[in-house]
Amino acid sequence: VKKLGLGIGWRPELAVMIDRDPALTFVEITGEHFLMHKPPAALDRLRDQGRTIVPHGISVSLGSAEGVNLEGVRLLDSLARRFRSPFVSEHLAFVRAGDLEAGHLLPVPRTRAALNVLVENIQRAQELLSVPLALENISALFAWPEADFTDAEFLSEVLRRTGCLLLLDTSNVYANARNMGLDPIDFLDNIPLDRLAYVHVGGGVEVEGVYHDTHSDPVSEEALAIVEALCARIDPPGVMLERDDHFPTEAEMKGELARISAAIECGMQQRSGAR
Amino acid sequence: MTLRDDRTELGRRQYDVLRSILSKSAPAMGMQLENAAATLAAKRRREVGLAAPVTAASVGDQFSTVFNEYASRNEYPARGGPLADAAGFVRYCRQTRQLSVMALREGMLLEARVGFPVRISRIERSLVVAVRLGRVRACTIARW
Repeated sequence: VKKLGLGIGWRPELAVMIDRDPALTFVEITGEHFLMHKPPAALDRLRDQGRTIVPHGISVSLGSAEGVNLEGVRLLDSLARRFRSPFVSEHLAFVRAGDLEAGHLLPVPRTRAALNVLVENIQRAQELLSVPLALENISALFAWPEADFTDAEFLSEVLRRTGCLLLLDTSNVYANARNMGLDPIDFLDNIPLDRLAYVHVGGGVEVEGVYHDTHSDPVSEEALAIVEALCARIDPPGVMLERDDHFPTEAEMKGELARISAAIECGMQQRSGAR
Repeated sequence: MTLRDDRTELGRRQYDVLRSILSKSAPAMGMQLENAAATLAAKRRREVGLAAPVTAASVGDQFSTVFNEYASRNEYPARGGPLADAAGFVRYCRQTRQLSVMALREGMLLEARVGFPVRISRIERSLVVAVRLGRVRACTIARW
């Protein structure tokens, strides 16, 4: 897997900061933002500077029973070709059912039947992609009543059967720990980290007892502790900050990135100390 | 069970759950969906507020109430995401209340972004055109 380094989700509001910070060696772009518009020249400039651009989808709906949004897959592929991306990424989730749109990522049941459908959907998407696909774990807002697998087993099985890479969202791991009682360390210890392509770290907030992965609040210390725990186990190819809204000052953004770098460093020191 | 059976069964369950979440009706299969329903509704409202800030400001303190009315009558759009939702919200507001001139222009810009790339509309005593050509712009082409 290509070494990506430190990155950030590209947004127009962050373009200037990204442009003048060479320490940000990769950016992730949301494919759906470019359904109606061509990507801006700023992204071509980043590519020409040698920075990696990873197209990321939010509406392919890999987990939908009626199949995937093929237009969304083709969009990701066209962006990957344009920016010579090493891979694209999408969520292990469904966003539509029949004529209903969720407008949000929802969990797939952890059953054998759902696994079979998911694997076939992903294989269909892979047929249309010229680059590998990385799958992201989501934060679940509810649990399905019965399950044949744990979250870690389900993710591992999907990756094994499809050959996909892993996009690990540590903040979603934290959200699932808070909201669903998942043990984050047990989760890390039971997923195939050798498939890791890159890592998401985003902020969130608790509202009425429910933790929301908002990407518009500071990254919590607990989410950073998961980054640290991850880096104590493996050297992740890339780690990036997700910030989509309520953009703070450039100094504060750099402060967030520095906190992530410190967590990575701390985890790596634990790993080298354990050798 | 064949894969086709798996799809049919999964589709039924996903549809039941999503319908329960979106309509806040009786939870499917005894599941706890209140948090999901509240989160999705709040997220939709917040994203429309961000995509149509001028309209949200024009509606003012009533924004949440008016948006909830709109959302109860209009499902989340199948295409276009929050921008299409915001365009729908501005259309709804136009029909139900007086919007500021800038909010009406914002609605035109949203329509041009998510649909046909040229929009012409009369706003008070002006004829305004919104065009998507790379970026989206609106300008007044006639006044009387």
